[in-house]
Amino acid sequence: MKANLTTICSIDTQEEIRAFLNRFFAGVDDLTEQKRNQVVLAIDEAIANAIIHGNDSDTEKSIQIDLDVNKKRIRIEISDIGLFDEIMNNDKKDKDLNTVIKEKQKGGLGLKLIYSIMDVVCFYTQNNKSYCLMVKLLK
Amino acid sequence: MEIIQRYEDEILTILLKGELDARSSIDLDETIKVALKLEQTRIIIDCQHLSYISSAGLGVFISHLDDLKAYGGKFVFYGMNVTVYNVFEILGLHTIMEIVRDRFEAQTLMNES
Repeated sequence: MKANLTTICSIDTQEEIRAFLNRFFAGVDDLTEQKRNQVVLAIDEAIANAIIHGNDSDTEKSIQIDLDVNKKRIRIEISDIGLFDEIMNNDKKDKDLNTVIKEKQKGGLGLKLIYSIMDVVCFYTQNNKSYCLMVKLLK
Repeated sequence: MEIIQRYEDEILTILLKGELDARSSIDLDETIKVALKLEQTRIIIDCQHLSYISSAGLGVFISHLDDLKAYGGKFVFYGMNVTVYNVFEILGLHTIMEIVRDRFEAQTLMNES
């Protein structure tokens, strides 16, 4: 089962993207409602990062989401996320909650959510585009 | 998302209706900033109609936690559905935030402080 979606870099599109993802994943066997909600959340977080931090909410730019599901796993690829260096050079996945509270940070928890929910998360560049690849194992 | 506020008995109730994401968290942040300016620091968040929350929404609450405490106030959440509560759980926020089942418990907890 495959699907893809291309959207402009605007956070105004995210509610619609989530609706699309929920419809798509509703057809996946072996994905409980709770897991489906978590996967949608992880994708939403990755898209928000790509739109806001990677592409400065530039509506002239677009990002593409590719979904590929088989019996063993869900594979999600998002491009162009535009923030390869930032991702590779920070430690947000291990961000301490007390530090976030103490420093009154509004951001920084998205990556922690992504790494907590997904079984595989990696970022890479190819042909001047940057990608976020996430895998959720089924069963 | 709709944000509805009600202030009575020195408690501000913020009712969230819909999905709290990167877009709607901007409006919620503004709402809480205004409440702090008005020294309305005892805040109950009515989540009965909140269907989704992302890290941007959580970030709004986290960023104001210490300010509320400094003024002797706090957030108390009630009426969360399983999906929303699960996001708090994944990050361990359910042990830091005060989350109760219903309005009565929220009010009781708020009045204890």
